[in-house]
Amino acid sequence: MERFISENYRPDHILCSRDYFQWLFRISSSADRAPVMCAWEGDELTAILGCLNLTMQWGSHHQDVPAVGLTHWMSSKRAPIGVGWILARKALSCCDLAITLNSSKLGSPFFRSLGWSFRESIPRYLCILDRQRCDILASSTEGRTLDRLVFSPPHSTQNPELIDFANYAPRWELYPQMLFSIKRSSEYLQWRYLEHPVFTYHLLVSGEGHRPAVCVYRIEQAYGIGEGSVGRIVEFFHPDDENGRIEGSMLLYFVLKRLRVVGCAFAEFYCTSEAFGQTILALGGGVEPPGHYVLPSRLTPIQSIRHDINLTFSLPKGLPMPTEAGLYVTRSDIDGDQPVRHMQV
Amino acid sequence: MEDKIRRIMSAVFGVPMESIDGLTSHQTLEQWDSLSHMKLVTALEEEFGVVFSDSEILELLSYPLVLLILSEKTGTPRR
Repeated sequence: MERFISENYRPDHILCSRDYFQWLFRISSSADRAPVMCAWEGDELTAILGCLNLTMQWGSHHQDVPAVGLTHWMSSKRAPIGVGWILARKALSCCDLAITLNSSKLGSPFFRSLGWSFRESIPRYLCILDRQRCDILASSTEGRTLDRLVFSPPHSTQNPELIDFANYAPRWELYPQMLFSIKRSSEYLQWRYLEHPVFTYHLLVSGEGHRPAVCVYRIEQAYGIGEGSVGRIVEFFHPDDENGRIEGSMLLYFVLKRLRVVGCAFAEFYCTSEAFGQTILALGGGVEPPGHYVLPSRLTPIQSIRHDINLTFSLPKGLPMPTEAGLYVTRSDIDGDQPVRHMQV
Repeated sequence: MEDKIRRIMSAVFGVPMESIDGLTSHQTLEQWDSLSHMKLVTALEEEFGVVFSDSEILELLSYPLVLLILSEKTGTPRR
């Protein structure tokens, strides 16, 4: 597997890291199998497709829906025509519902042809924390746009009461904005963020255990045409009522303040849910206009062009189409927030 | 059957029906890539009410092979 990826892609591809591979596919160090579909020609590996087992909420808080997250769909130049698609078909034979982020220019047309639902880009919310540091990173002419995105919380905003993650036990019927989402169970958050082998995520929970506000973020060091640090918010949600919105606002305010204190130029949050994005807007931030490049999203190294995160999902019969108000997908779903490279090469 | 196949291939690859012949294959047709191959297989399955196996999908690489495999699957003699 490592040789296949190294020879066909890059030797420092993150999937060449054994620790990362084991974490992503949730296998032990002694395991000899992983949920990765493989195509072989003789003893030569020609294509792979990773399958993450997911538990989703899809139109109901009372019944979990098994799904597969498709990741790392790769093939060698010598792979026979059709083999990639055979792997995708096999992956779908396990679960009716499949979801993937960041499908490539090759992958996207495949999924569209299969009749899957496709979103070109997940909205990106931005909040400027240090205007001068943003100018160093941005090297763009979006001066006026940046001025409109500066963190400016209302004077009355207070700090939240943080609680221990051990008390995290949300009643999901209080979160209709997440009616269509990967279920953010404590087990999922524990694996996804607290056990990540590369990134240091900060997971904050406030309010009450059965109706918490949650924010997860990490700090990334940007380099290239400029240098600086950026706050990547990868989860943010709260109950859908007045108290929940207040709690969420306090928590996000706390996080943004913290990011500013440690010197982050800006914070970003990719999220399909306008309900949660509104909180950033209320604190002075805004959504990156469609088709515009405002601030870099790829930071290691900095790339001064816009990169969208697309979303694709199959919709089998019997399952409802997700509503705009109820769909919750963020950058960290599936493999959307992964390290660029394996640093130990 | 031959006309149906050629019509499908013409639509998938964007070439005239008349140009689809015994030499038409993924090696002679530039438009025959992974994506169009998938579209071809899907269209054939839908039109003829069949499901191709994995090995058949990998073998459907030319007009003659498409004709042969479909004839065998549907029990329709080639014309």
